[in-house]
Amino acid sequence: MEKINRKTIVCNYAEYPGECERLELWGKRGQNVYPRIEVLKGLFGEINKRLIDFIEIATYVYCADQLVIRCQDRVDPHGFIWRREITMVIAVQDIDFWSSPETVKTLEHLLRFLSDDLFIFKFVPLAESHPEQLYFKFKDFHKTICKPEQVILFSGGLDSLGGAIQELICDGKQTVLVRHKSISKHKERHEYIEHTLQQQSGNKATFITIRTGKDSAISNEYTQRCRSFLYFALAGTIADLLGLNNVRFYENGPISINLPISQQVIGGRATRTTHPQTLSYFQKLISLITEREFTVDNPFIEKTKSQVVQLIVNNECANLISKSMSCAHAWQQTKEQAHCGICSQCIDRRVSIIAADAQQYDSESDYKVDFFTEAVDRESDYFDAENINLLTSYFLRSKRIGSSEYTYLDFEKDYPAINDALFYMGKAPDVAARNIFRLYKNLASDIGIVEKHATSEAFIQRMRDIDKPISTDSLAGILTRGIRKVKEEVLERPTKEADYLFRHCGDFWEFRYAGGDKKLLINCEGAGYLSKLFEAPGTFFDFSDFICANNQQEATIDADELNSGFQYASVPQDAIDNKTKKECFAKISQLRNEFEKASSENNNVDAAAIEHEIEITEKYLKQTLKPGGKARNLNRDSKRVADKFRRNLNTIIARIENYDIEFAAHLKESITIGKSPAYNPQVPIKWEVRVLVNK
Amino acid sequence: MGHTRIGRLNRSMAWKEVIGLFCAGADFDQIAQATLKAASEGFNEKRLSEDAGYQKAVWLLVQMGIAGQSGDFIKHMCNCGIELSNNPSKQELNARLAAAVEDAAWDGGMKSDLAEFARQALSNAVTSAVEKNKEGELPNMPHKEDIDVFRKFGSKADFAHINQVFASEIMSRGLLSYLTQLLPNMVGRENRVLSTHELNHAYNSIEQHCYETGIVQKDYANEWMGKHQYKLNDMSDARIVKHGNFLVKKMIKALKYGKD
Repeated sequence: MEKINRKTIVCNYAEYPGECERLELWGKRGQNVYPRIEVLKGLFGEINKRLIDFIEIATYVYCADQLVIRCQDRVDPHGFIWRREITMVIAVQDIDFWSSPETVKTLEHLLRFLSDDLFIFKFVPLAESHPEQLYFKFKDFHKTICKPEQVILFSGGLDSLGGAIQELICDGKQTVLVRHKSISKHKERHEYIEHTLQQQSGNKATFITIRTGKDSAISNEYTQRCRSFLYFALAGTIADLLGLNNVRFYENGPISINLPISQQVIGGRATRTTHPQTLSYFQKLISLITEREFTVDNPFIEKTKSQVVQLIVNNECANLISKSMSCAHAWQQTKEQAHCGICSQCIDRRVSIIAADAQQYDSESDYKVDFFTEAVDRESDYFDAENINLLTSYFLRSKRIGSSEYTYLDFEKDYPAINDALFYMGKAPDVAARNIFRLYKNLASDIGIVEKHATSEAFIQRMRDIDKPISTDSLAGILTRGIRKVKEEVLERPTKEADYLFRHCGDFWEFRYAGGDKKLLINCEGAGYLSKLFEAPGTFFDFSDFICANNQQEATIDADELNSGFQYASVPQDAIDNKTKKECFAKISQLRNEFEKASSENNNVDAAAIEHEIEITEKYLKQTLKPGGKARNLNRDSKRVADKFRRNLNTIIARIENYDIEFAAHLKESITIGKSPAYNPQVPIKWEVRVLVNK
Repeated sequence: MGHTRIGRLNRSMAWKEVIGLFCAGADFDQIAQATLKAASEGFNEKRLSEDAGYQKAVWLLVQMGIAGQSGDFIKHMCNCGIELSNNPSKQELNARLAAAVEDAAWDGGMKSDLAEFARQALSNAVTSAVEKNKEGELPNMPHKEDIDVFRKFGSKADFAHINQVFASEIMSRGLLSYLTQLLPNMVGRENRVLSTHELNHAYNSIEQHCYETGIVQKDYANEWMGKHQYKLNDMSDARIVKHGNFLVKKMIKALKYGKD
């Protein structure tokens, strides 16, 4: 059984005797997390202990999520190390509330769904009082601002920008926008958006910024599936302090539900940051904490991203599109290029902007890689590739869904992951399921527009550009694939295949045994041996027949050896015979006696000569005998060849066994290796072994 | 937000063989065999049999059969922890089943990818059985309620069909979870894969192959149902576990060595 990816994280100086990692928000002893939360003086009431605990728990979860590595830089085909078991031991002020079974269960289920990890919470009473004002930054509240009516999360991406416009401009609400600032290199963009929104809405926006600094040793895992939990905790706290009972996430429907782009995307590998079920857990948790009815919703759940872009354009905020940032690969961003261009968010962003016909408001130069024309995976082979996989799967999914023959039933079968959302959409499950289908159909039609764009006349002009040729690993390359080379070659195939077939065919071998299904084998040495054996059943071969026949043999015997008269000896010869061996040992024994005698007589000259002779004899024995005393084989090359023949033959039989047990059993039974390999079937078989030729 | 993690496979000979076979145009039964072999460390009979999520899915599968025979589908399912409304739709049933398997998978320690395949396969089995029973219904004409179809899950034919779809879906989802880590990488590379159409065809063919191979399950489940027809009500958990283990054993064997 594989090892579980398990870690215990102890926080707030809680007592814990075992092996663990520690996270602390305060105190000189071990502070390694440095949150900074803006609080509006005069607008907020006093923050109660339970809410302070909530913010601290969320911050610790956010950091723990980044501390424990999943499968970063490791190959994890079976998902063994993707999921983690994280035990959080946290000291809290309101121990009765946090350790109640309902709270613990809600927290654990929420994080389990959100992150695909097993979170186990153990709460202990806080031993030392701590100064929470250390991480609250008190900011003056402008009296001109009316009391906020809505709290929304504002990430700075297109969706949350659309949400801000919806609240501030369309609905004209006084809105608090809670945002996380992690990268200072985009300060100018943030300020531009803030300034424009204030201007367009008549100063109805109040921005509250949170930062979560931490020691570099904590930032190990970049997937950050739990980050929305921290943002939500802060937004929920702020809403409660403002006396509001609603928090809004703005995320387009397809990203919120985030159905897998391919079968390998299992569970939380597709984020559930704003999934309807996640929001429902958030709602339950904040209602428990505040002890009043709270709602957490996503008004864009039935919109596609292109519809959100349309909303931005229609409200005369198109100039903000180029300033918004959607990229997930923060480490690849620069001041000039805020988007990597190849992560799923960047692909989504470009697709939606083009589908909404708003590309004139977005700058192509803002993307590090233009996935339409440039290779998305540079200098990597098919095992490393990720971006081409993402791009291909993304477009393939939409092609499938977008097809006119693709029905709701197909959708239901292809995406059982919708089941996770059905109870949380505020509608009957069957209605919700059909709404999700319609949403994805709309997305597919958006992507269809992008495909047309990629093959439009303007684009074809770009494809003809000699100076900057389009890469085959780009979207245009994928969508306009030429004919595969192998298809150009017309293979001359017999109309009726033989019942017993084993032949070389390009890079692979075809075989069929006793009229069964035809199978393929990838080229390997053993296949060549088999072919030769089948060519002449009943013939006793010499190992050298296979070596000389197969040019692809590794340098078991090189050309020089063959030219210089290498004789393939089928009978191994010993390097020393028994008689000589005995004589050598007797000679050494005699020489030792003579050496002792010469030494006792102080005859140094004779002693040195005898010693020299002993050394020579011993060296000879060492060369000719194995450590155990048995004679070495003189013609090791021949043994090497025979061993290799056996090994390769066994390998090919084992591979055949994977596909055709009967054939493998027949081979085991009919091929004798010994000193002269031969194929002797009990019943004569005529094999078709002629190589398939190209016309 | 909206991040998707794409995995990758190791560079073993076994995976290279899968790529080679695909590029050489081998039949999909052989590609499935090669994939099963290459993935055997994580996707095998033993792991599936020991997986809490898989076992729960099989248990619910059998319970649906029993509920169908009991005369009160909703009540029996409620006794099994699946609370349904008075007139549940297949979406409602699927969502409840999915949540139950999810809970069992986590309660069994650490959830696995296999549990997710079982969860999805169970949903597909229900969807497919409902679709099969509603075949031929004309639009805008009176049609059967989903609950009426659920009541038929206790019949030999429906139980066998559900078992077939369940087993074949687990296999195809498992195999495709690996192949989708591999094949899309080759589109546009060294002419290995012609286009997204070829890729789509490959996925569909694997699904179809698994479904056809799953015919062995249909026969087996039919016999099993026949054998236990009158004992279904007092079916022990151990017997259901045995049924689940045999189901997966038979399916893997059929994929490896052919359904004949």
